[in-house]
Amino acid sequence: MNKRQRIAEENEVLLNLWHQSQAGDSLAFCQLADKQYRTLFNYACNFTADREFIKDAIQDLMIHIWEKRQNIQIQFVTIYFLRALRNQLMQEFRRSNGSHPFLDIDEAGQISDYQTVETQIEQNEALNENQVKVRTAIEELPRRQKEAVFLKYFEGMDNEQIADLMQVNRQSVANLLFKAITSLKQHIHPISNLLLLCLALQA
Amino acid sequence: MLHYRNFLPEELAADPSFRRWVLYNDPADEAVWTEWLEHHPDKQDLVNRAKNFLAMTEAAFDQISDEEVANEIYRLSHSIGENRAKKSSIWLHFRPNWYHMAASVLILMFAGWWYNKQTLSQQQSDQYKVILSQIKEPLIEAVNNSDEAKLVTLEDGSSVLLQPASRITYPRRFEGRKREVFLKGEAFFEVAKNPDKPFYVYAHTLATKVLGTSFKVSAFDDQEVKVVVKTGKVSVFPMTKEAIASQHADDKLGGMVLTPNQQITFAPNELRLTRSLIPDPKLLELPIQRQSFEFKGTPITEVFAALEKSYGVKIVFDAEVMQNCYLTASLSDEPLFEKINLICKTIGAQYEQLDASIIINSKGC
Repeated sequence: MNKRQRIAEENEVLLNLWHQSQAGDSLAFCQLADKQYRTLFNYACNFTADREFIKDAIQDLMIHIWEKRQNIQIQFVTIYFLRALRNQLMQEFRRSNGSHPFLDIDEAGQISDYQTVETQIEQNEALNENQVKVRTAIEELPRRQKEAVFLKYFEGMDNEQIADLMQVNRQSVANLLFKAITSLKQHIHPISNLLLLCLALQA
Repeated sequence: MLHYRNFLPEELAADPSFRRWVLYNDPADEAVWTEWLEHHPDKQDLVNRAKNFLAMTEAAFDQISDEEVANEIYRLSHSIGENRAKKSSIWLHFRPNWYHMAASVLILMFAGWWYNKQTLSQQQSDQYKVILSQIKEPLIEAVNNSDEAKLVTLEDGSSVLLQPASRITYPRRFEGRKREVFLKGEAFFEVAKNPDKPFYVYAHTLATKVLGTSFKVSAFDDQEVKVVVKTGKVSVFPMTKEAIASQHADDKLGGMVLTPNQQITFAPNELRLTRSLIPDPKLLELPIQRQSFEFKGTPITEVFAALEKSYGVKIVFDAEVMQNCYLTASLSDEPLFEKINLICKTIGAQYEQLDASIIINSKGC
């Protein structure tokens, strides 16, 4: 009845595709990539705002996995792909050594980016005002808090899985999430109160 | 369940069962939460906050469009040497870099599956029979031998514009948890919305599942099967036993999901599904696929004329009495009778159906 089951089911479908891929079925691999793409792209957005860079990174990763498919053992497909993408991004950032226009490595040896929130918002004129506010609030979070929030709420992973992926301990994940939620709340609560008010008026 | 009482909205938003309910519309979890709310009515606010929180993080983190994903998968399919794809489909002659120049004209995507040819065909025709045999209601068959489109209205109010040389088989009433119809040839569907009763079209070797939307299926013998979406979302999957079972198991849209202005083609002799964007929406074959039902202070005569033309029905009304009736409305994928109903409500008229005509009764505006 709990989360494990949903993950198990989804994972089963993905594993099936993966096994077909391993047997050389490139179409199954494309399907697998299709199912994973949105998650991977959105995850990479936590590291950089350069969309073309992300697309190329995911292409490289997919091709690499396809070529090495015989030697790769996968248990949890999504987590495997997320981890592989994370490693690849880290490697590329280090290699570019800060020359990448959007990226640099912060004091703690971690990647941070200083994209402007304004450009992000301009790209998203279609979103309504509230969504823009929340997106702004999320964009303003320190990178690692943002990553943790993504994994927790967009992906629905538990703290243990997040800790494993981010290579920190569980307490650090809890701390990251706590700090993130505290600052998000300042932005989101006034909005959701307003929303509730609107709903109440309509009803 | 009791411990949820002390949850904060963000804790609820991370709860697996809550997420299955809100994000995946899981029926079992929905029941759990509906009951929980009945016992804890004071927690409605908490649930609303958690739902808002989820909706906002979903929107805030989602940064890529379906088209971009399709492009990237297409690029990948080329890179990993999907050479067989090139032979069969004209879409696939384009080079991976080509889309940069032509993104506004034509974006396409390629993916699909190969199956063992013989077993698949066999399985599919078997599957067809199995589904047919499970329907206990009397089946009605509508055939269009004329050279104009023919409107068929189903029991649930859905419209089917059956094209020439086509046949549709459907139950007199949709009993049970699904609405299922069988198509040979070509038809444009406007499905009445009912998320509890998904709508399936079985055509030749493909099954299409929808929750409420408009789309076209073409499945003439010996030709490729094609599904084109005008509004909403549908999923398409080959008619194998496994695929059908997993689609029936839940209300989610699995299979290959199609969104507006995308199409899927399935070449039976190659047993492969290809998903692509419609090259130019203006080139859609059926008038109704091009038709937009946006009216802004439009005289009612013109409104009815547009409906007559799109659906091939006759609308009878007193043009003199209704000369001062104007309509401002944005209609899209509602079935014909829902459109008529909405229009009549707006202008304070009644309608009745008589054979192939629709009679509008109005005292003027």
